[in-house]
Amino acid sequence: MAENPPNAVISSRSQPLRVIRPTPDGVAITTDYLNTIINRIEDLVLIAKSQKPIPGNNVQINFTSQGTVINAVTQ
Amino acid sequence: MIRPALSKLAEGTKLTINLINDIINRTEYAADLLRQYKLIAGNGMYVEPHYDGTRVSYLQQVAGGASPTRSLYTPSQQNVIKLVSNQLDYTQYAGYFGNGFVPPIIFSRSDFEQIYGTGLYLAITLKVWGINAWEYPFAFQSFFPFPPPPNTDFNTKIMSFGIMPDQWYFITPYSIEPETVFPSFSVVTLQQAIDNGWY
Repeated sequence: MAENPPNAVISSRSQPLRVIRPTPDGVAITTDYLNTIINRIEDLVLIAKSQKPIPGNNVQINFTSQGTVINAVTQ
Repeated sequence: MIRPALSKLAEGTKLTINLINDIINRTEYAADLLRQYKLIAGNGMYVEPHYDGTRVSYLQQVAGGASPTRSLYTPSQQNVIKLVSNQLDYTQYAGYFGNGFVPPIIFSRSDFEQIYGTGLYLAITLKVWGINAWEYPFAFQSFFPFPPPPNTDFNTKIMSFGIMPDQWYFITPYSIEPETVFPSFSVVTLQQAIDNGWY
């Protein structure tokens, strides 16, 4: 029986973001922390792009604003 | 709309409204991609969403012979099925995406066991009306307790059959009005399932 190829592993550069704890005097946000947020967002974009469906054998796909419709190519 | 990638900030960069908006736009871009890439079952396909992934299956024989033909039962038997329960039209119970999402009713096995006893099986069928309704019987998004049996002859309108799970529910999509194509289910015993050729 044919087997699926192993899933490609997307290396994640970022770590989960930490929540900022408020203080009475306000919070100073460092450039490093902003870069952490940016890295996390760029990873999210990378993961989103990697989940773009690609048609395999006997499958057609149509992209719509609501999602990607997959159809079997029937005989 | 494609939004440019965010650049790494240099030390001493000011936190400006423009920077915040760039971050927001890039985040929304990723969200749009995820929305666009959500899989929706079209003709001959079955999509089963899970939290940790999406199962995609063929529902019928396709070019290339991915699914060999083996009918579970003949249409003639469909007319002699003796059911423990009457088929339930659950249109009013199904969640669907239309003008708004209606939360689906969750059915529990324990409720049926109180009526019919244990060892129950569930047969999910489709009731359709309207010309060409069967041209797209699986265009609606559904979440069934188990995938359709392999090689099911869908002309018999049995979509899914198996041991009754603890809980199950149904969702129809925005694209197909539930009044046009709506599923129902039947509760049967193992002996009835065998008699019907389902097991």
